[in-house]
Amino acid sequence: MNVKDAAAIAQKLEREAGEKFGAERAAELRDALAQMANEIHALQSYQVSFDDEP
Amino acid sequence: MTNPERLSLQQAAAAIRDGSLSPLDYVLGLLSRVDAVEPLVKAWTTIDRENLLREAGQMETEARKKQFRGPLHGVPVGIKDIFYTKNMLTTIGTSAFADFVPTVDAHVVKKLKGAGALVMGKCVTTRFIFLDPGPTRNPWNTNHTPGGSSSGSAASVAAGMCPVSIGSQTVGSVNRPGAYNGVVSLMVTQSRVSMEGAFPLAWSLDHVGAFSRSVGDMELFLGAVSDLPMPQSAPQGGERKFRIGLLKGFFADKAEAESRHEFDGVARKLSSAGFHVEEAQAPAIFDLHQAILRTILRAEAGAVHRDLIRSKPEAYGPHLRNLVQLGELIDATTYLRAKRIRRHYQRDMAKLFASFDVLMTPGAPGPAPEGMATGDPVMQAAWALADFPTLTLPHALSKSGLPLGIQLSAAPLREDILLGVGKAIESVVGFTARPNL
Repeated sequence: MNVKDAAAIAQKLEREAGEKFGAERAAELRDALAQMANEIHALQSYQVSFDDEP
Repeated sequence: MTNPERLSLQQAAAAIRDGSLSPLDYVLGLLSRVDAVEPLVKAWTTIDRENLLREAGQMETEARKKQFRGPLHGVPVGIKDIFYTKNMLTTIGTSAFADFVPTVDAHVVKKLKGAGALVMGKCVTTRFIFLDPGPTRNPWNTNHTPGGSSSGSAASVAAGMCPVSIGSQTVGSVNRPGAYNGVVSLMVTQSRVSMEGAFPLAWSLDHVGAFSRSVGDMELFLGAVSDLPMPQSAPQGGERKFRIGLLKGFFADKAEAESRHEFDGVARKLSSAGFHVEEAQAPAIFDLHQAILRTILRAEAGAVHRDLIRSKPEAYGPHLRNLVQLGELIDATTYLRAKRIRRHYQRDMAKLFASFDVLMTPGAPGPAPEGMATGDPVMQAAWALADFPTLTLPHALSKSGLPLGIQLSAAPLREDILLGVGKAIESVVGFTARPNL
């Protein structure tokens, strides 16, 4: 997911939800998608390196 | 027999072994208890009485000859209805599996049977092991939830219908109902007891758990089902003080005022009793724990249910439908990133055990909420994600007469330390109340 901020992630998720589940369902999921976008953004903001991969 | 619901697992197992308790009489006594309280509690999906009584009779014949299959010989155990049981319905709490009869036992069920336990029956789980509730009510007050998803497993033990039961925890499905129902609950390290043969919610987070009415009972139970040898190096209270790290901050913020007050009270009591009690500071990565856990949970639940939700949409409640559909939107790199950060989280959180034997928090934000919703797993997510074995035990009653629990977590595979500290705390707290059913 090559997007930088939570709002952009939420927009991308809502577009994909519309394609998969229809626009009405995507609208129902809007708040949950916004929360998920915040969490994905938080994970993207955490620095991880490959050095500790098993 | 009178009052079989009062017998602890240790007492029942010992009495069967010394011949003073007949396995058949014990089962008949517990079935009478079921007849008396099950209409109120609704903890069971299936009890196969005919088979149960036949097997109890066989156990009795063997016990008379002093032939014992294992440490749980003749003891009935409740099984959460997600663990496969050979020739017995396994419904996962959903109409989609209403007629599913496995041809094999789940790994932990095999272990239990090998230890001599009887399958008392299958305990109610929430629908597909998530937040959409089943019919079970809290034995302390049937207007309140027992928690979930191991709703029936916790309530059956609290109501005295069986001495021990197994459940499972992905986020908070064992330790939260444990706290709500005033029983001892244990989520084990994932590699301590295999989840093989259980329907998954999110396989890399799913853990086996259990409910009992004392820490000693839990110790006996775990010794019978553990896949790995139990270490024998638990610190002894006589040799040095147990070191308890209090995690406040996030957990204090999430606790209701009464729960926070009682938690502080038990911490003072333990300090006065000679425990080394000190506030612990969670590492910075702790702030990410909910984001990590939810990302993994959604992605794995989405993968588990991707096909089934399309073929049987009517079987899905609103909570799981949301979870699965969100999960289908998580791409592989995001999921793998969450898994990598989880390893950092586990490593950094485990450093706390250099200073403490166990970490202590409230077992739930407050007493069991009124109504059907199964409550908030916010006190448990950090430990399920860390894969730290976690125990709750009751320590007080709220003003509303419902139990409050404390929660202890230890380093991975150190259930010996967890249970050792738990027993010591149990003796100091001295909680003896039972639901008035």
